[in-house]
Amino acid sequence: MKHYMKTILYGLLAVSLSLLPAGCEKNNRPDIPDGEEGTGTDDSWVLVWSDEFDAPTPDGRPNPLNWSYDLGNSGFGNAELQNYTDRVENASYVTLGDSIGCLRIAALRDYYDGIEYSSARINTAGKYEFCYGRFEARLMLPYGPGLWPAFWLLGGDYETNTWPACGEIDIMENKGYQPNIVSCALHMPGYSGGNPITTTFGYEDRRFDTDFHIFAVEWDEEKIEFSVDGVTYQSVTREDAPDGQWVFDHPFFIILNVAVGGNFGGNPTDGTYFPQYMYIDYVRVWQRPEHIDPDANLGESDFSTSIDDWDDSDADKGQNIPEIIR
Amino acid sequence: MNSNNRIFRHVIAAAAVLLFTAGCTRDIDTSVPAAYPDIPEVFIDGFSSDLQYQAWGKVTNFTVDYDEKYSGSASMRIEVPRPSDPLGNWAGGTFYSSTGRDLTGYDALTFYVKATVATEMEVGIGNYGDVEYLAQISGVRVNSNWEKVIVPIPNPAKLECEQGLFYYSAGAVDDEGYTVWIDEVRFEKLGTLAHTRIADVTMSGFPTGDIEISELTAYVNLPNGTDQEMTVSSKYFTFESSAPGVATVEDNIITFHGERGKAVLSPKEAGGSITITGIYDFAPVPQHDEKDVISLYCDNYTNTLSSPFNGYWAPYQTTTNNEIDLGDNHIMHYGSFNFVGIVLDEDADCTGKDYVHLDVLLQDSVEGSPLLDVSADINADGEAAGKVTAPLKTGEWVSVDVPLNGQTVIHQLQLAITANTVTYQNILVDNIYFY
Repeated sequence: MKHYMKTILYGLLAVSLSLLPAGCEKNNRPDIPDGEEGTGTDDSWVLVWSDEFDAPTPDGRPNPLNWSYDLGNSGFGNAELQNYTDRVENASYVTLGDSIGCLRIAALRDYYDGIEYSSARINTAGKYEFCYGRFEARLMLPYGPGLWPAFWLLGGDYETNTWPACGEIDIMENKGYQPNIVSCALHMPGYSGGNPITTTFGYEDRRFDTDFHIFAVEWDEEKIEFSVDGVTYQSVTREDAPDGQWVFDHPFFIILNVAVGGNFGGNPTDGTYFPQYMYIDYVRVWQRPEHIDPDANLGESDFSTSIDDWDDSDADKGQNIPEIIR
Repeated sequence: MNSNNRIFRHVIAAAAVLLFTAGCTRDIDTSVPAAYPDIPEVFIDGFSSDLQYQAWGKVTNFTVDYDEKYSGSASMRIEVPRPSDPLGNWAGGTFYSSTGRDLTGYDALTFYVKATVATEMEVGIGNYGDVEYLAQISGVRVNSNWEKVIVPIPNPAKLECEQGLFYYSAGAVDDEGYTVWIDEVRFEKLGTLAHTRIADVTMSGFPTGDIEISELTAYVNLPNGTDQEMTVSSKYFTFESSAPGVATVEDNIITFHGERGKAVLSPKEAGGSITITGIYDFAPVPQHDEKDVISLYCDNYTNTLSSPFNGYWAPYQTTTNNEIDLGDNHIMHYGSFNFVGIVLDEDADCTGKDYVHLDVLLQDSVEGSPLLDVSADINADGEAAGKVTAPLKTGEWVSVDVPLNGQTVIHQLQLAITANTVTYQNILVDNIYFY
């Protein structure tokens, strides 16, 4: 199977490189909707992996070829209250409006297994890991005090290279009591739990829980840049990290989760409404050709087809979702 | 259309006539709705141009304060009186527009408030005139620091001509008066309010008739992610029915159309729903000639007796009551039921009558054998002329006939869950008469 995947990758890489001089934008860079992403327009992006969540799996749970679960109620080092499960109740395919296929992570106050809150945390560890690239997700967030949705990357060597040495790139985190503000963060040695390199992005008159927004990071050897809806609001360069502390030169995997309670945004209150949902329209990863690892496990996904079928109208999907669906 | 709206249109019509008689040949398009001002300010440092005030409670409770203010040069000062104040034992008032305003471009009324004590007060919009679009927060917490209050508008599209711009109500704390200041009262388009939903309601329907949806409990999520509980008029929303043959909603009236089954009535503009869980029959139509009965509560007879239908006997009674008004049919609902006294306003002269009749329907699904004690008492001490223990059936009317045993004066009826039997909470009662 690995040989087969290598074949696909080599083929794509060859096509991409061969097209570069001709400047064929359609095939060797993502077709980014106007106004949604100000970055990512470099001519050398290649879509290497995505999960569009358009075709439900037989059991309605996240595709096991792409995703694994983190399970349990250990608090995950943050005094989180939820019990992460692999139940379809906590992560499932849904259709929003008429046609928006999504994965929905549900934070429930259901006392499952005797624990007040349940939720889901899924990751691509060991399945899809990438060094450098543009990681993007189109999300509609939950809301309310104590909700802590996140879209983030963790160093693939975390089991042997103790956090924060393995590195962590938080593309989007949200404190549920601030439904119009998100933040990004980098964790590395010297920048652990409460002391990351972080900043926030907010809208004065919009919220992140009423329609979809695009959260992205662009990461290369020299810098890591974070954006929301095409607006880059944080750029951290290798020089910004203390000598030897830049740990972002190895593969990372993707994590999506909705935590309940914990040190980031506090615990739910009587004013927190459950159930709460994070809707994930898609997760996409692009890389520059020179960053595509021919040995990387990119699965059996026919990502070349994904490129050909790229939907320019993605940016508009979900803007007319009736409020009551939520 | 409210009266002011009509007046305004008459003014427009009059103006059109004047233009015509002056020889103007230009066509006037009267199909264009009259535009009302969309002024956001209610009280910043004084009354906005069209603002009027109507006091409630102690009518002198409101003044303009030029010393204490959140910003600018003045605030609204409210003196909440002691309960013993001869001029009024509470403070309230409504600020209204004399012409009406177009508030469709805003999503909230906001203001700053502080008080000399920590307490709660009631504020809202839409409380003037016909009170079509009430939106009220009952427990606004105030203290000695200025705090911003957001009163969400559940569905601004409805407020094309709203007169009730702001109202407040406050009572004494520990029998003492205090002072409240309110400042910077204005409508805003925040853009950060979301997830309006009504509290889910379940109810039973009937074969025909109309039921008015009164005020609803609603929730709007605030910019801090918490839900603001409100009391709002059902007219803010347009309801859709999952089963139009069972029930539909027009404005705020539920109409039953004869089909049996479940119907979910969902507002288009909010989450939550009103669920008609099933359709009950009406109580059996009484067969006695009117000349042979003395009626207390029956749509088929003239009710010559009267009662408040609930004695609220403290401290143990939990029973509440409300009448379901279906137009031609009126049914008494008792909720949180344990026992209730139906005390007649005047004792009934039952000379020549043998029984008191009533029909009872148990709404709750319960296990076991639910029983109801019904007695007809000759005095307030509960001395019974007769008493019956009736088995109830969920969803079915049960006729109960209590013998009077020769007694000719009845003071009250008592209904109670039979001691040490299955408990339940909701019953319907209809057709109470002596025969």
